[in-house]
Amino acid sequence: MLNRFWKKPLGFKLSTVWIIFILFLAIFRDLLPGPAWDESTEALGVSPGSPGHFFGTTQDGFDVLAGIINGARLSVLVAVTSVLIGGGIGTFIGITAAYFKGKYDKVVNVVFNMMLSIPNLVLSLALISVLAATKDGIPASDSRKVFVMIISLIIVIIPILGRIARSATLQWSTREFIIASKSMGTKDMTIIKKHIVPNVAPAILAIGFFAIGVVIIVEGSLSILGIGIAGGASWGSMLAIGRSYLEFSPWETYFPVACIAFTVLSTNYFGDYVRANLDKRESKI
Amino acid sequence: MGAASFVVVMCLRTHRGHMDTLRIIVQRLVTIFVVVGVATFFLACLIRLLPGDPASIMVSNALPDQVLNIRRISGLDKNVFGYWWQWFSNMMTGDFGYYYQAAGNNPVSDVLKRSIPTSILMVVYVQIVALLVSVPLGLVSAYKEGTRFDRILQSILFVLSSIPSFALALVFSLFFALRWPILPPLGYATPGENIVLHFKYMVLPVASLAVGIIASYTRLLRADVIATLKEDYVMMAMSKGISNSRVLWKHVLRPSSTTLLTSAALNMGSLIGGTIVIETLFQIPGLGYEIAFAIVTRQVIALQTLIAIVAFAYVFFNSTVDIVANIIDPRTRERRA
Amino acid sequence: MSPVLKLTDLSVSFNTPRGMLKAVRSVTIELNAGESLGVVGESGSGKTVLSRATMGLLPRTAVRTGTVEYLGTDISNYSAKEVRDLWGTGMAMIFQDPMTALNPVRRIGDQLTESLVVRLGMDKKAAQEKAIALLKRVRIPDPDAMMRKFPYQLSGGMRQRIMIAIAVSCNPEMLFADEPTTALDVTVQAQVLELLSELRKEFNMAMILVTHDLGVVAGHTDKIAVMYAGDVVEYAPTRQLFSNMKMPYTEALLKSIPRLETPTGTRLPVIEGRLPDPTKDEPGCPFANRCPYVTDKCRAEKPPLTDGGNNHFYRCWYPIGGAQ
Ligand SMILES: Nc1ncnc2c1ncn2[C@@H]1O[C@H](COP(=O)(O)OP(=O)(O)O)[C@@H](O)[C@H]1O
Ligand SMILES: [Mg+2]
Repeated sequence: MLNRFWKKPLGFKLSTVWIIFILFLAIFRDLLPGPAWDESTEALGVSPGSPGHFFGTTQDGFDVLAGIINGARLSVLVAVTSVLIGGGIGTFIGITAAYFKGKYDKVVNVVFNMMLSIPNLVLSLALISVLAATKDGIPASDSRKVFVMIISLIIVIIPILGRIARSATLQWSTREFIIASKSMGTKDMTIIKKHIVPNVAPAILAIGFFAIGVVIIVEGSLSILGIGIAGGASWGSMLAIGRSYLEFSPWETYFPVACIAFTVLSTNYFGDYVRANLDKRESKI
Repeated sequence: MGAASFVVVMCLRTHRGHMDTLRIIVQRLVTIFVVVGVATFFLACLIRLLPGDPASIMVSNALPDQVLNIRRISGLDKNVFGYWWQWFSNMMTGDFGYYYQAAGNNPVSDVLKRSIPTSILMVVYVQIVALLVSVPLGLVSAYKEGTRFDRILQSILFVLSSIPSFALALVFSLFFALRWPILPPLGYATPGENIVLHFKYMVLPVASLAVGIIASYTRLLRADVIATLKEDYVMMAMSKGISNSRVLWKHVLRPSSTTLLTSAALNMGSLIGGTIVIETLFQIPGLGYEIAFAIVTRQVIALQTLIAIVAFAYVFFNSTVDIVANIIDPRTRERRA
Repeated sequence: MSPVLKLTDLSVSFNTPRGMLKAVRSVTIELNAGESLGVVGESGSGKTVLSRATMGLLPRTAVRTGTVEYLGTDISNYSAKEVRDLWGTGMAMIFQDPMTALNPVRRIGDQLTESLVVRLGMDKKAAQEKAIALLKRVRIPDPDAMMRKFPYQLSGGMRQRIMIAIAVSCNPEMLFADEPTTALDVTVQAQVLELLSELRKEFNMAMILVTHDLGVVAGHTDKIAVMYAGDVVEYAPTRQLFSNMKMPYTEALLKSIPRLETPTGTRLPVIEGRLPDPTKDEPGCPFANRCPYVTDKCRAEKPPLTDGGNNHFYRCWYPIGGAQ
């Protein structure tokens, strides 16, 4: 397996290494040495490379490296849960709509198109501002904000993957082997499981990777707009705070920016890779 | 309605002499209105789902009769459908709702008068810059397909297309506004106020947005040009003895640009929405900035109007792209006929 | 006076994943001003590659050896720019499929006036007039309206006439017509061939007419080169070839000519068997496996190009009617 890995293109290797690295940080955050991410030290705004603060500290004295490690957990949590759940729901709706057709499909199609007609950042903004609102105007707690963000992103992801699943299924459901299977009285759900899902999976996987990038960018954007996660608990939040000090301690901004960019780059690379191989397979048929 | 007449003109240009011109226009308009209508109704439902009374959310510490007044003017005292219908029909007559504040109500149309032109200018600049850069890049890299130049360019473009625009914005402002202050870090002037300043303010935001778009446009165009270069008519053009660059620009570019221009048209709508962060970072009072502002200040009615406008732009360009394709490539006329 | 075109030992190979593909093998041909040569052979025998190699219109994967002399000058080592200057004004090409060889998004007028303006330096108005005159010459009704049309609005025959008009617009010395009628209806084929012959005489052009159909070249060429698997296997003046056919392959080709009197729908008698693999170099005559007169010698040794007198060359150990 390692042998096969070495034969892959450079981009594939770099992306894999980066993603594994981020997953490692996210999972083993608490076991890693170094200062806590949410405890201010005496060292205010020291530059990277200082003793004890490898990536420097923020103007408020927080260790940037610790913040990055902590932010990895939140980014992974938000990205993975929302894409898995939203992608799962969207794929299910998309496949069943395209398979069973009829009124159900028409409604699904209209709803998807309508949701996609609102730019995804605007949609998540609107959803979050509604869902995170509390009766008396007291800001929502951080855990509630994360929860609300995940719910909103799930709703954003559903039509993105749903539409892909729907169009891929529409292509496949007219193939001979599926019609043959139907005519032999195979149950619909069995056909979907056995024939449709394996064939549409690569296309969905490719878009799923892109969706992770979308989620990470939206998370960063929401923080910049001041309605995301606060207090430097995520990469987006770190750069949202750091950008006010861009002139004095740019490292506060560019480390989280670099993490966001590399992660999006890696997942986009996987998406592109899956899609390119998909095209190859298709052209062989 | 400017938009509607635009559709009419486009349809007349391309479907000259066809009997179904009117039907297509009607069809398109109906699609646009249905989608925007449903989307805004969905928003109206969301607003009514807000915990608490939207009227008192918009204006904190409002007096009871002020709240009553707001509820009456905005239609919040009706049921969801009644509320939505009042808002929607008001929109049709040019009444875009209000920012409800303790000090009084400001019409959203005042904000729109400033923010729509600002956003349109910015989006147009982005498109112009993106096309000016990506067209020659796409042509050359397709012409040099597989060479070292092409491979390196493809890698660079892939990286650039994956970098979020806000990341670029932060890097650009660090270097070009703070370290070497050749450009203002934030702010805006309309072309009427000061044209030079206007462009100075626009450079960084437009560049931040354009880079990613340049990357994706170049990739799109390259793929199509590679396909076109295999066509007989390209060899035919070459056999006339004209220069390679003339072959590329005159014979290859246009038949290869349908996908590019289609996605550029699609981008118009999503760019207006996608500029939210950039407009916020650079403090440019466009639609995106106003949307973010409305959300932070909880101006739900204004928000609904602003989102409807973005959705309208998006759907409008979405449902008219095939007309764009039609203008570029007469073959599509044949297919339809 | 030196000939318009002289090919000496011209060979073309393609670098393919399966190895070097020999598409044209050591072809020697000469053509004088106003003369026309028919190049005939089955599909895949190397006719298109031969004509494109002569013009220098080959893809990057192609390797060309031998010399091409144009009006007495060796052009085989010309730079890309020098060769390009010959295209259109010196050598012009008519492509096989008029459906795909005209640019679908440009108006006929633009495509026709382009060479006139860019290559001959005419001004717009003069080019326009010349283009209309050309359209009249190729017998296109209502040439003014035609200038504004797009290719998709025209029939195949019309498009082919336009391609011809484009090709002759800069008065080339030499015209390559690659299967100019294959994609057309039978009734239109004759008209287009007739037009080509007329124009050739009028402009005193040398012409290479490439086709897989011996019937097409019979009335429209001065001499014929029959190609098989990259080789010229028979080369003779047209009259001589038809009256005194030497190659079994040429004979087989003749039998496969579609005739007007055969009822439509009947399959043409194609030659049994297939072309040899062009990436392999096997000993013996490449036609041996398909030849009705094959002997052991044919399988063992490849016949050389033999001079049969009367400018008649052939590549066979046992020519029909015996050696002269
Ligand atoms: N660009 C190319 N790359 C590789 N092989 C080619 C190329 N063009 C032609 N060939 C090969 O050269 C041989 C002759 O082709 P061609 O000249 O097109 O035949 P035809 O006589 O039908 O015109 C064929 O075996 C073909 O596969
Ligand atoms: Mg050919």
